[in-house]
Amino acid sequence: MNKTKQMLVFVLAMGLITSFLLVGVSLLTRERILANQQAALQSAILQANDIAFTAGEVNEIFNDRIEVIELEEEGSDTPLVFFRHPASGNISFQFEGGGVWGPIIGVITLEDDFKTIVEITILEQEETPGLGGIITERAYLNNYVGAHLSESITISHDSVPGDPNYVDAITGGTRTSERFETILRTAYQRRADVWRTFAEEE
Amino acid sequence: MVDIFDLFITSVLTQNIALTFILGMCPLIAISTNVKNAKGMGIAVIFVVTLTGIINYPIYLLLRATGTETLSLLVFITTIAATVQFLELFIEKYFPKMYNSFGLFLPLITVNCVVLAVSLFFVNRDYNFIQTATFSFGAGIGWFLAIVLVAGIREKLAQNTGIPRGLAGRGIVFIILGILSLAFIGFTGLSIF
Amino acid sequence: MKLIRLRYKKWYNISRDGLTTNNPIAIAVLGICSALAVTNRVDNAIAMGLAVVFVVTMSSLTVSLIRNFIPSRVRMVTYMVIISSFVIMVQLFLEAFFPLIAAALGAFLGLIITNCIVMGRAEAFAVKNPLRYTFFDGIANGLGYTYVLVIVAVVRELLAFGTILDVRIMPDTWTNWVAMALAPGGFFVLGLLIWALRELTNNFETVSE
Repeated sequence: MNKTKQMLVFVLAMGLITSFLLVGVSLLTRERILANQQAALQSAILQANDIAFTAGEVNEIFNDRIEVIELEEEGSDTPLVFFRHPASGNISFQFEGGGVWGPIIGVITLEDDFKTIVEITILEQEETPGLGGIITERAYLNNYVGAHLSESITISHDSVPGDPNYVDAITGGTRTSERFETILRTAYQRRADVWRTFAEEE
Repeated sequence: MVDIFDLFITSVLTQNIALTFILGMCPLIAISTNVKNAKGMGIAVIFVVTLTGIINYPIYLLLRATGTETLSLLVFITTIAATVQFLELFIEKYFPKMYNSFGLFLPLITVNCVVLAVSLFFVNRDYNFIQTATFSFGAGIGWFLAIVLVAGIREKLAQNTGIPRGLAGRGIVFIILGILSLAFIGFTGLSIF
Repeated sequence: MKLIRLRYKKWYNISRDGLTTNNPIAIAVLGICSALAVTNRVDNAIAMGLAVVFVVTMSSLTVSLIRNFIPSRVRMVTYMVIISSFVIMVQLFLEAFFPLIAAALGAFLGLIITNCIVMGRAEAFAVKNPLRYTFFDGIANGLGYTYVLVIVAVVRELLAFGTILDVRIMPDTWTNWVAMALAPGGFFVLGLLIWALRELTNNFETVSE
């Protein structure tokens, strides 16, 4: 009985200590992590719009040059956030969804027709390094430039050259490509109508 | 219903957790020396993976509701360990025959990364409860299939003395697994409906 | 003279054990999942290897430190809890203070938690040995793991992409073997490497049937 007691005490103590440590560390680092994530998002958007900036003043330049538009989504409390570059009319937004191993989070910039892709940047991913992980590489993401984001954007191995609805899949990253296609399609479906209504009203 | 069946086939064949995701390799290599043990381990994994998937799902919802997702990994591990411990006691008490055939493998499962991976996957893929249960069960069956296949081949190979001594034992398993996973790549794009 | 005396030191034996005679991948066949997942590029293999050296050493040290308090029935869980909380904390720190490194290593972290080398060393060594030996054992095993990873990665990257560390080696007419970048390629290369290492070190497995 003594042994069982000892074991229980140990397990409880271990659980408490590790939970405290983890929650503590996550509270301590939360602010900095959020700031880093915001900076990453802002610099990606600035880069997509060809705006020069330095690491120290990302936030300032961003607030100065980019317009943040929040639109209500039906049946949801949190608004959809769009970032517009008034000078060019480009619209950016953040998208996310499940990849093969973990979430894929990125930011996409579209031309003012809300269709033609200007740039995609991946902010966070945990795909298989060397295969699906290629999704973060500029050389691969450049395939998306000029393609059309729509419900039927297709990422496949037998893409049709010149057809803006098709983008090349990652060699050896078929599953990542499939998931990324779903992520882009859902992101578009959620936002297209909301944005069009807003643009027309304007 | 069709979706669920499709998900099941996908998790067993197209996205076999052992042969396409390469998870749970250590126990697969260690325990596949004969078909009998492989079956025992495989069945134990099916049980534990399905159960922990089902148990971890509501726990994850609870964690998400309270905003403590940072802890989810830790909680999943604890649930898995507790489930395994409980299952061991339960089977030993009520199904002693079953315990003799695969009870031995239960403690080993705590360290099988398939179990943890399944719990992390359903979170990542936003599955609902039914999908989680189906996916967990399918992943278990898929792993069972892989270990029994490997064990069958190893048993036949053991009667053959032609294996180079450097490859004997666990070395040859890699070659078997390589060929099997090549074959499973062939399932890619398989869709029944 | 000094070198000869070194041979008899316990830490020398421990280090040699992890690096060659009892190499975690080639001889003990542990940590295969991650070894196969990251070895299609050399840079990934190096990053993963170093991360594992760090995690193995630190978690083994922790286990060794509290080894006298761990009840044997729950020791496996204890290891897993220590390893995973350790990895999560490191990840949070990196994300807060070194976001670039965190982004590069993000994909490896999950793989480290499920890496059975970390677990294996905790169970086989750290739980029975004092801190200073555990330290050498962790580093030796981590490095033993790293160099096998790098060898496999060199072969796979060369055949699958025609490059090593992204530097083009093969002539432009080279046709990439895509299968080498996928799981089967990993299995074959690792299997052949184990064969070679066992022939070289004369360390064979006797099949008991």
